[in-house]
Amino acid sequence: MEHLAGRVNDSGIPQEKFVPESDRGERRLRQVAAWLILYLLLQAEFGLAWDRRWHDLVGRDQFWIPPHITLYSGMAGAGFVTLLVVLLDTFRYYQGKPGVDDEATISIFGLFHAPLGFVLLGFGALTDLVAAPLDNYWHELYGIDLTLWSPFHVMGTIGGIIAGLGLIYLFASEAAIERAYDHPGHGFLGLLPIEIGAMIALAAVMEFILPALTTFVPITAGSAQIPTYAMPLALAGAGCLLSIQRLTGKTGAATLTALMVWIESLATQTTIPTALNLVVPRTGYVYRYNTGPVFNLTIALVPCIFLITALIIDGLALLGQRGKTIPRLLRGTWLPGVMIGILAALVPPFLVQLQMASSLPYEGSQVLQPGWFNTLLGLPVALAAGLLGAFLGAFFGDIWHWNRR
Amino acid sequence: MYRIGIYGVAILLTLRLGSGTALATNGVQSTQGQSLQAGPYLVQVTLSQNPPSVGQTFTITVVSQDDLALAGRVIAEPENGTDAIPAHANLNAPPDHPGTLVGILSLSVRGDWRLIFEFNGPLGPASASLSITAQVPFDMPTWLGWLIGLIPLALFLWWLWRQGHYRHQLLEHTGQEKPGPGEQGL
Repeated sequence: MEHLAGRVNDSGIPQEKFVPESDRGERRLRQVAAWLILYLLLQAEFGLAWDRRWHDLVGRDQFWIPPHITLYSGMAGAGFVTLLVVLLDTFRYYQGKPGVDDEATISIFGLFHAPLGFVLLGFGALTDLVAAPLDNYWHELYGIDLTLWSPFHVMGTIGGIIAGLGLIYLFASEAAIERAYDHPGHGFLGLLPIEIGAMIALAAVMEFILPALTTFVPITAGSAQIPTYAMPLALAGAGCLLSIQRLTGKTGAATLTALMVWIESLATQTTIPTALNLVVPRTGYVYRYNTGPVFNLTIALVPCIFLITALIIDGLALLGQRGKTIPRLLRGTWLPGVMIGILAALVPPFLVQLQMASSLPYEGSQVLQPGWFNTLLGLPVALAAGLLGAFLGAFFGDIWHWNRR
Repeated sequence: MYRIGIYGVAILLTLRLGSGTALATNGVQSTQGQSLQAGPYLVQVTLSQNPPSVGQTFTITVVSQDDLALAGRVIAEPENGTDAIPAHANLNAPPDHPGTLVGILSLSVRGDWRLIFEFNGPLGPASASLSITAQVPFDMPTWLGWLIGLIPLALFLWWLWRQGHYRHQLLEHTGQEKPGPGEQGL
């Protein structure tokens, strides 16, 4: 930690001399691995979204179906790259290579040495690879129509989230190191390329929860039903958008990330029906209810919630940057948390109404049509999730801004 | 050590499931044939595993008692209480045994299934059904599933608590109790 106590530049960033030439090998190794893992995790995420629609429309009768292969090959590939880097960095650590010391790595079991991001990635990938056969067995025991709330779906989801966090740690630590150079390179819109990697990864985390919204079924309390679909939206949205703003320290990063979610979501919603129609008949499967997939306009439009919240976050940051006085009441992280809570509760039912009023077919469940009274009942839950997300966003954002391990 | 122990248990359990599957594969059990009357056809149906194990293929052999050349297929339909989708297999006659049909099937979920045989032969189309129960080598209770499934969450929460201390250290060392939003515009 001593290295952080050195001199600082105008932005308060600990400043160091030019990175020595010998250190560039380590930077290249970590950054190439980070981009490769980003691709593999995006592939796994696409596989998961495809798998979810496959289960709904086709059913589940065996493990080796194309969505599972897409999902698990992505996770296994990420795990393999991670293992390789952990072994390489351990080797380089014992060789005393520059950039691979106790300040740039953490110790695992006192034997291995690697950056924290790779350790998290490895743990997440391992969790998913253990969860996969156990989930398969659970389906064999209890049937095909298990929701997210089965033990090994939860285990796999936690593994995916941990792997995603690991990837963000990885990009963020490299960005923190690059920011500490005397003359950090500037990429697109003043962002370092490695910061853009972190934004894509955070956008992927937000996009990750969209296909799962309908698995958050209402909590029944007497005759009322308290909707819970807003929880993941508010938690992930507030957390990711605030953290990217703090990670980069740049106004506009949250808005750009929200736009990335929208692009990813549109791409997923457009591609999956095509992928299903292409693969299902060619692999001998049939649609179980004789209806094929349709474009889900509601899910495609839900990211507008993230965009509005991101504009609020960046707007407040811009005011602060221009030296405007922000009323004390509006400072801190609570406002984006509250805003996204309200939007996450109200916007999805409105979008469903919109889609049903149009001529487009609606494929979703009743979960996103709670009725306005029940929607209001769900508002406190959404607000609590938004505030928790904002707290976690600030928490991780601070770590990601400074952490170089 | 604690972490190694937990993963050791998970891995052992996975291996235990795997070995159970392997035993079921090796212990292939040919059963006595069962006579079925499908319309005008009297057939003898034999399953290479009875009861069949979930997720493993088993062979269905159908022999026409009258040595008639038949064609057909078998559909495995889940009974009430078995949450699965139907499985299909064609029944093909080996070249040297025209009165025999063979098909390979795999059942995806434990529980009760109905095998529906559809035949076509010189006396026209006909069908018959047979009830079977698919089994698994090891029954994992729900509580055990949740116990294993939530281990990573417990470890994650413990790590998150540790990160709180780490964040505090980072901010202390950089003299930034709260980094202000928007250090630099895009």
